[in-house]
Amino acid sequence: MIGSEVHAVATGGGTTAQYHSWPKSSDGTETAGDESFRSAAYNSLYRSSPYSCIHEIDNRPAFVAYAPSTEDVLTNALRSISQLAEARSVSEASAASSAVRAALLVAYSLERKSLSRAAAKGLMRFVESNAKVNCLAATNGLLVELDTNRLSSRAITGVVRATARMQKLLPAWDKTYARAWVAISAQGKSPQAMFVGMDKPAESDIVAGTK
Amino acid sequence: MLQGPSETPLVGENSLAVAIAGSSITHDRGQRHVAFLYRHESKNLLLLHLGWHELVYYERWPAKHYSWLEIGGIDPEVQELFIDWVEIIAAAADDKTKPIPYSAIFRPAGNFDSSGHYIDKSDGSGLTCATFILAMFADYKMPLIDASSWPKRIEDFTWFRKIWKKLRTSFPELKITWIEQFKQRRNLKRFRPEEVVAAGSLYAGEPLAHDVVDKKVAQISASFPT
Repeated sequence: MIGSEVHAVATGGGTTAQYHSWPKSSDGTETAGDESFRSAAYNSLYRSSPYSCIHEIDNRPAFVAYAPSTEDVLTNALRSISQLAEARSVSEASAASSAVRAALLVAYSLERKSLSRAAAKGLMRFVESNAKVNCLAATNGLLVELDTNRLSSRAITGVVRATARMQKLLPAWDKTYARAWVAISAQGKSPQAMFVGMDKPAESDIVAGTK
Repeated sequence: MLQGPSETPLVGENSLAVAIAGSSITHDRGQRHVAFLYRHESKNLLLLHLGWHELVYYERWPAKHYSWLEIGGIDPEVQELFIDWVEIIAAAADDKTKPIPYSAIFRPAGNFDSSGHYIDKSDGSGLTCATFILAMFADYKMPLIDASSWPKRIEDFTWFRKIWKKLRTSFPELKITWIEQFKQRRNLKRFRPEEVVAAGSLYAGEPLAHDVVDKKVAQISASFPT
């Protein structure tokens, strides 16, 4: 006989969150896991967004969940987990966004001092460090937030080239490349020369980039 | 024309070159070695090259042994950007977590990840001194050559055999790597050091076909170190 209590525990980054109680059999032991529930919940928590910065770290215990006794309980559990995932996602997005803002502020500041090579290098290092922790959200955020009016052709090119190999994984890449093309042209440089070896952006994206 | 070791490289606006050495470096007559040469932001001249299996060298320009040709077909700003990106590869190679296998099986693109580490697909592929340079340019979206236009040459098979023998002797535990290369021997293409020097000097934005590179090699072949 399975009891009515259901709980799920997720741990990550040293914190433990408990949402519900575990379903217990009459002898008090926990029931066998429901793989589909576990997968859905796990995915919801850890893979809610392909750009999430949550990583599966070896010492991070996997999400654990057990079969609920009723569908309602399952729905409630999933809803709660989903809410936590959203909360996590919001906080991580916020952290990524802060990092992007900081990286760009440093770059803009270097540009004001005519240190464009240092600005470009800093932004490339930012992309590299995001890649090391598989945080594409921050790299995509950089592409979105990048103000081409405050960066030199060198820094703009550096960012686009450093991210070009990940372009399929970065939703903002195509439009940023087109914006970069337009901005470099407006700065009196040749985008063909700066993006030598690369295909020209789509005309529709270039038109959008001029607006 | 190929510049000799006594000439000082990269004194003008260019910051990139390809350097080539002969038996004074390889200790093997007829065996050449190619290295990527650049002017660092500090103005120092540096060489970055793959010496052998899992062995990347990052060193000061020795001002001997190597002849060189500049890469002049790339905007100077982009040359410097490339250098700053290459430094990421140099740093990643230095941490030795993902070393570069020595192999004649070459993937023309997708050799380095965004943190500069070599992507080891454990399929027998890897790099040589020549393809190490080609791979860096290709992954920065400036492929120097059209690898598909490269011929399979029967005379390169002697070189492949020599390399496999050395790999087998030095790294018996790498059985899979050299067996995989041997299995694919009929499809292997060799990208020769002198071809990388020629391709670098000719590059102007479009990947170069073998026949174009070959003509340049013929023009400068007399000055290559032996």
